[in-house]
Amino acid sequence: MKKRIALALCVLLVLSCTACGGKPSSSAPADSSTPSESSAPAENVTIEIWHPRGAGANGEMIASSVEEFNKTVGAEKGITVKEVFQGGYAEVVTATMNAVAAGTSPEIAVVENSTGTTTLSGEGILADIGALIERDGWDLENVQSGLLTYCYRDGKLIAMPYIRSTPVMYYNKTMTDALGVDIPIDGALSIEDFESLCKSLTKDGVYGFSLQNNTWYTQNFFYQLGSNMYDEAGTSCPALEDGVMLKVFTAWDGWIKDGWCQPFVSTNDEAYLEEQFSLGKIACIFDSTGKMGNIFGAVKDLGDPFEIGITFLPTFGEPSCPTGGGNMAIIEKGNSEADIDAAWEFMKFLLTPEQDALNHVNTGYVPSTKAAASAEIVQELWANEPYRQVGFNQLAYAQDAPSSDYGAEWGTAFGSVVSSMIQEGSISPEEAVEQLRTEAKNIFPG
Amino acid sequence: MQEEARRCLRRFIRRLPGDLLKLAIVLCFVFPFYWMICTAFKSYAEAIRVPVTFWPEQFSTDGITSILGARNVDVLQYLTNSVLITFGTILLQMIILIPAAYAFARFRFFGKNVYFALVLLALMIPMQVTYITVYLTMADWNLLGTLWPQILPHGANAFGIFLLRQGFKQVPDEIIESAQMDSASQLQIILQIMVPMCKSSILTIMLFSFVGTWNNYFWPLVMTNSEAVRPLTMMLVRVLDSELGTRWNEIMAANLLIVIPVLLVYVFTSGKIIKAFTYNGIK
Repeated sequence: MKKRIALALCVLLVLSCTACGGKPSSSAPADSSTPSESSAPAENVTIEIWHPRGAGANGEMIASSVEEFNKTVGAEKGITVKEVFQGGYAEVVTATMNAVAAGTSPEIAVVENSTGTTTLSGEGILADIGALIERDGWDLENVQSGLLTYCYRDGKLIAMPYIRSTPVMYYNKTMTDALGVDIPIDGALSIEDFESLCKSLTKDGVYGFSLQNNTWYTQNFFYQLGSNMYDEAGTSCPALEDGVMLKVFTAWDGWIKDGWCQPFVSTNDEAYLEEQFSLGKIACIFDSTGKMGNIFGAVKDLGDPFEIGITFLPTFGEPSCPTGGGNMAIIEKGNSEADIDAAWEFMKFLLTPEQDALNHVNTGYVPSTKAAASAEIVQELWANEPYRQVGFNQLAYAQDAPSSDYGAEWGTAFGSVVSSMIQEGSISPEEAVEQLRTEAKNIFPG
Repeated sequence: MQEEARRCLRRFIRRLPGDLLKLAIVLCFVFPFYWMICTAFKSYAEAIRVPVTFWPEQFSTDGITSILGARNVDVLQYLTNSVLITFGTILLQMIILIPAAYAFARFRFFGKNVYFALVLLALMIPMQVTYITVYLTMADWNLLGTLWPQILPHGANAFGIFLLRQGFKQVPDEIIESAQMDSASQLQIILQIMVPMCKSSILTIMLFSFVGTWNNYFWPLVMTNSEAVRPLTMMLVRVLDSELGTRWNEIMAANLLIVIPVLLVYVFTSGKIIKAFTYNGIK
């Protein structure tokens, strides 16, 4: 009897393993990058969007967008979209490249806006969205221009902004109010005012500020001082040679020595800063608009011990901010013309004012389009919670470093040297710049 | 009597450094588990509070409910996949490794040592090196949307073959010879003599496979493109969306859910494992 049960279980196991079928293929791959005249597929098409949006508000948003599309535009045009979570940004890129190699390409991939988009476009697997826009007369002017930096390659538009964020300054408003300091919601503090504010906020057990070891912020400082992390070709670091890097490092090192800026902790420093800010131990931090829900939620969980304020990033000169988050790209390789058309239909749907506005309201990502900002739900949200508008307003000053094929390696070397200078305090700013100069010789060509 | 007490004291003092060292080692292994359980039942506010609390002031199930109650996430589907993948892998490994280990332990054949060296070589190649080739093969076989890519590539367990071969070699020849004199077939010898006598080794291999497959994150990550075939480890990554921030109580609750089955299996089989690694003289 036992043997029969065991045998039955084995058979059941084998059947279960086979039960889930593979991805249905819709039609033959396209052999040309030229889009057809028709703007909608003639027969039923099923497409997949691979993304890094997990559970919670993030996952619910994409699930509801897909559901809404399938019920409306999809039903009308014979398109069914499936959303597939693939892990973080890096995993989406890896999975997409594996799938393309195996001939099972997804139709849309949501990847990190700079390195992710650059990596996929470098593989030559992305569709030319510009041609689709031209064919349909779609209004590209409606897209926030500050978010399009990495969406172009070799003059072609190969991605569109989707889940984008920008860093802002979160501050302990209860503490600044106690000092009688009024921080504007729609402008950037000068670095001198910022330093003076943080000094005043520092007291027993509370640091005025702490900065993550993240090139997102240091690159922005370089830009404010008229330099950049990479030149246009992405083959050198101008800030290294024009004195700007030394100026920024000297300032940061000085903040640590003055005692009002806490050195970052090397591991998980972003989470650590968010926690310390929520606990009222650090008065000001720079963090992504994407983290707004988490930071407000954490302070609420702690019993709302203080009010949170949000403003632009402080500046050495003119206001500026980098952007982050994801872009969506259509995978051309391995997909038919009908698949690409269907993917473009879904992409357009995600960028409608309604969907873009919902994405902003429900998750904190900034609107990708100008039209979404005028949507009623967005205006209502901004009227009730003005700080939610800060990221969007700051996008008027958006800038991003030119992309570099050496970015990953340079970023690692940069982080390591900054760690020695800020966290360990074992080298001076001058020595840090010198070390990075040596690294640059090994990393960049020529 | 005094002499006895002095002897006890001397023994105690002699053993003290060793015992303290063992205690320190035990603490190193146990503390992370204790911290995980403790944090899983704290509220987020308590989880990040400084100074830390070493026991939840108020037991909170927020972490666990947010993991199990995440919308659009079918926990049962992930759990079923984990169970099918884990037990499917173990079953396939047993079907392959028992005859393989028997052949290496008992037969003489051309190239035996070379084949065994190849098995040992497989032990040394990390899965990160082979996954692209395996992925493409699975795609060619049209198996990517099924659970098979998470089971088939792990069918040949090199460590298992190595361990069981050692176990089979310890079975005295006389026992096998007497079975052969009674006209037992090779299959009967394997199933009725070798397997029962090496039960501890087999259980150990099964346990290692269980832990390895149950906890595996990398392989399902690269082999699956659909939620329908993903195991629990992938569900946790989905639920703990790092884009939204680090919630320690939820992370620890998720870890707890993954670790509980492994701990239970280990508790029930630990005796057998120790036995498997101990030479018993005669089987």
